[in-house]
Amino acid sequence: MLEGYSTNATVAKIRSIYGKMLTREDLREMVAKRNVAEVADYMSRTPRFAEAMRDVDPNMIHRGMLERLLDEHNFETYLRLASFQGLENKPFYDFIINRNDVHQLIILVNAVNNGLQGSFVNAIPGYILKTSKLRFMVLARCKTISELTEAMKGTKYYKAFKSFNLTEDGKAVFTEAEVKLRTVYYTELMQSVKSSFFGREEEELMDLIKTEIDHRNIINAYRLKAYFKYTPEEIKETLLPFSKQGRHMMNKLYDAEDPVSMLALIKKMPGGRFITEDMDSIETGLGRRMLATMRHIIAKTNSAPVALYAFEFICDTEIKNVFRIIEGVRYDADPAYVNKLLIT
Amino acid sequence: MAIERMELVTINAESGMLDAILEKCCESGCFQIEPAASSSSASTQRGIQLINDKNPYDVPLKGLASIATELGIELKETDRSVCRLETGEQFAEFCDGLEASLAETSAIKQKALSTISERKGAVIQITHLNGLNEEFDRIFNCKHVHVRVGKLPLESKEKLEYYDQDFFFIPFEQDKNFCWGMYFCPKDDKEIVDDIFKALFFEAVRIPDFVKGNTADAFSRLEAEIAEQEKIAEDADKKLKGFAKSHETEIQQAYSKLCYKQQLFALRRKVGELRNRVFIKGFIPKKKETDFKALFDDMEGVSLQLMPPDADSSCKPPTVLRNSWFSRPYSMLVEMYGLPKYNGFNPTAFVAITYTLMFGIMFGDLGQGFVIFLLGLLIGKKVHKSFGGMMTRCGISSMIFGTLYGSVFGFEELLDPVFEDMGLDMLPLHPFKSTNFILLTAVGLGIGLIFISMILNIYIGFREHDIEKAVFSNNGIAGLVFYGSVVAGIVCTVMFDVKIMSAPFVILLIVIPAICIFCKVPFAAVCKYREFRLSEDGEEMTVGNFIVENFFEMFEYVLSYISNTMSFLRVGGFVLSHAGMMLVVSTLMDMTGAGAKPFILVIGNAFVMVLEGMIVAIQIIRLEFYEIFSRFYNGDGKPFEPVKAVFSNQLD
Repeated sequence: MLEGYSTNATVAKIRSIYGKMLTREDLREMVAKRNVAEVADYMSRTPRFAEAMRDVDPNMIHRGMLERLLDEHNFETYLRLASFQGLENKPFYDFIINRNDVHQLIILVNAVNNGLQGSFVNAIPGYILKTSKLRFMVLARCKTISELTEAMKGTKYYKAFKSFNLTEDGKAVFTEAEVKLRTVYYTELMQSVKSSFFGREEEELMDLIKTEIDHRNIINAYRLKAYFKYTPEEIKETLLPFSKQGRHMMNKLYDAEDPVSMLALIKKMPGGRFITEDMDSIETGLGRRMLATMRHIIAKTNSAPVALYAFEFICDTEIKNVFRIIEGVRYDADPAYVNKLLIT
Repeated sequence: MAIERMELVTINAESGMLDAILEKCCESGCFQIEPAASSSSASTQRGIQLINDKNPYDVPLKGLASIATELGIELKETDRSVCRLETGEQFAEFCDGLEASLAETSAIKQKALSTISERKGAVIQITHLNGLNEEFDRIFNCKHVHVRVGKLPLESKEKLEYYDQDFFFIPFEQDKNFCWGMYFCPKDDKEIVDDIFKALFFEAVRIPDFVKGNTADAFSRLEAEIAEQEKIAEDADKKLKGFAKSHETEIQQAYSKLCYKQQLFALRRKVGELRNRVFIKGFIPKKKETDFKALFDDMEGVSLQLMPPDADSSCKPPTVLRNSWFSRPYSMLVEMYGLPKYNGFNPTAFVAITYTLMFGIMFGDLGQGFVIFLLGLLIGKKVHKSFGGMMTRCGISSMIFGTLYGSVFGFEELLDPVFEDMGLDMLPLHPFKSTNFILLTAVGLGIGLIFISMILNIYIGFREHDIEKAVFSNNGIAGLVFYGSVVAGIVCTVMFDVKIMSAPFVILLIVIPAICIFCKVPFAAVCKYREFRLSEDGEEMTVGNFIVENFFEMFEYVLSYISNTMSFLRVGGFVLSHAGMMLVVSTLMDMTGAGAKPFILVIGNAFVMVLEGMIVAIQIIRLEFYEIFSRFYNGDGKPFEPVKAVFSNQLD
């Protein structure tokens, strides 16, 4: 009983940080800035990022460093929230580290395929090197996928790597590799939910995770159909094997004749109002839908893990918005266009 | 004690005379401008459009303010008549001339400041290289080795082990996020290694070419250059100050005039225009009519039309309260709540009497009242006239009631001999000995004030020809009879043991008025429209809805009668609490030695005056606004704001 009460405090803390997040007006102001220094200066004055930017000179900071800093700030915020009342001992709360690991492994597979291990090393954030159990600096020395698979022995991803179908020149099929690694991640995540929680909390969390998977699957399916002209069977092979909507519903989407009819079906789904004619891409429309869902969850839930999971999504969206703005400002993009890309 | 009579003025003239007319209007100090055309008014239908020209004085005003800031001139209002500039172009030319004169010196100063900033940055960078005990030229002049000095993020430092290329990095110093040091590599590999470090966010420190020797030499060289640039900046600053001194008067005069012109031009947004003629509409107090007309006597082609204030339905006349000497300070409270409508009721006199009375009752003390009176005189002269005026009146009232209570700075027995000599047995009225009397009187006062409020509401209702408000509402005749009968019935039954609540009494004086209140809307509709309606705006309403809605409204009215009446108990409560607090002070005095008594007396009285004075003042405001005003007053009037061009050294 006391545990139930203790997570309310974490939920309250999450909500208070949520209240300080960048608003639509903040983002609009940032879009109107003339250079990255002005954007950095603006962010250093917001309650959300003031602490992260305390020791930073906005005029001197490199764009890449700024993005790294914001990313790391998000990660540290998560760790602070998870450890606020010692919740981090449950296996579920490692999800963010596992998620980062899988994300970096997918990038590494692509890097090894293309001989860009150096770029991978440059790009990998320092906080991931510190917190991950995987030794990415060693893994980055692998010259081929087979070497990489050998190096993954003893880790939970070894089986997935072993099951990669390699092409004639020893490269991994990237889409297959991505699906398999993400399947490992989500399988482990859902098992940790089942073992760490029960009842309503478990239900809410599973719903949330599966909603996220559906979101990912729909975007991938649409892109494959619209830009790569994949057939429904080919599409189904590239998708994660979990769903909240149900296989029947999702198959209807994948089996749609063309991207336009697929979009029409998505519009009929819950949250379809976010799919508008003037949206820049399917990611923007569906991203807004997911964001609305996560915001609703933050407002309603009393469960700390659910709130934390939703909050992480919102933080990621916020950071991606900032990155889009930075790119827009760097390349002098039309502010109206940049505003259209933002997920708010 | 009423509301100032206003008149609606329409001025019609040729477009060329607009500025002169607006100047006269500002000069008069009694003209409130209204939009000459609105979307619904007849004037728009006749084709009159509001002038929407861009203000040509905005840009030069900002420019001149910016120049003044740069020169360190504090802008003050001066005689603008000396300045010969008139149009926006002339002012813009003036500003451009000033900027041109300043440009060179400003540029020199900026360059010097920029160099200083750069050199100071280099000093900070070199500070981190304190561990380098070698001469820079020896390091940077190596033939086969490429060197770079700078800072590397700590997380990137960990990634260096990945690279197999020939380089090594020597760290000197480290802070929370960065590591300061230098890297060496063969000159042949310079580009590859530079790329690696660039990708790891390495920031090279630019050490100026002239820096020779080791870090200590570099410091002294940089310090010398900083000092030199500071001298240049100082000389430029002196030149700018000299320029400022020689041009200050001119700038102040130009700014004053520009500010005036800009505000005058801004008034054009409310001026209508049609085919070379302009139309200005506004209100003036009726008593200023002659003076206002006289301003335009020497202006040919200007026609003034004076009309009653309600001649144009698109403009609401503003309200100016006209109060007597006694009630004038209390207009501050009425304005706080909201001014009455132009043809409404001015409650200031009522507030003045009730506020003063209640303050005296709740804060009755002869000595403290006198102090408040004196303070009021001082504050009225030095700080705030209205507030001081209220304090003097309340102080006198407090003195009167203090005499009745026999209290002088908390000493309850001081006036007893006086009343004994006068043969008045019932005075003084000691609060703790007449608690019931005080509380009952407070409630009685409340009942009286509620009656008066209702009577005022009835009077206002009849004046506005609003039958529902005057007769059938909970504050109209029906409400008055209902409330009065209930009060009379309770008082007679409980206090005087007179059984007046007979069946006819109850039916005629309680039930029937209650029914009138319950059915106020249909009854008023019958009187006004000769037809039966269940809702005010004719919308569909079933009988069931009507009954439910009005039942809850009736419930609310009855509760409000009770609660508003009981609310006045606080008047008696504060009499007792004041006496109680002074009792505490006198008890403390009794507990201390003779030497400390005067201090306790003074401090205790001061504390009670401040604390209780403030609480009583606020509580009376609450009684006035909530219990009294809510029965008859709507503060939905428009304040009178005559046009004027006000000097301001702050820009929006």
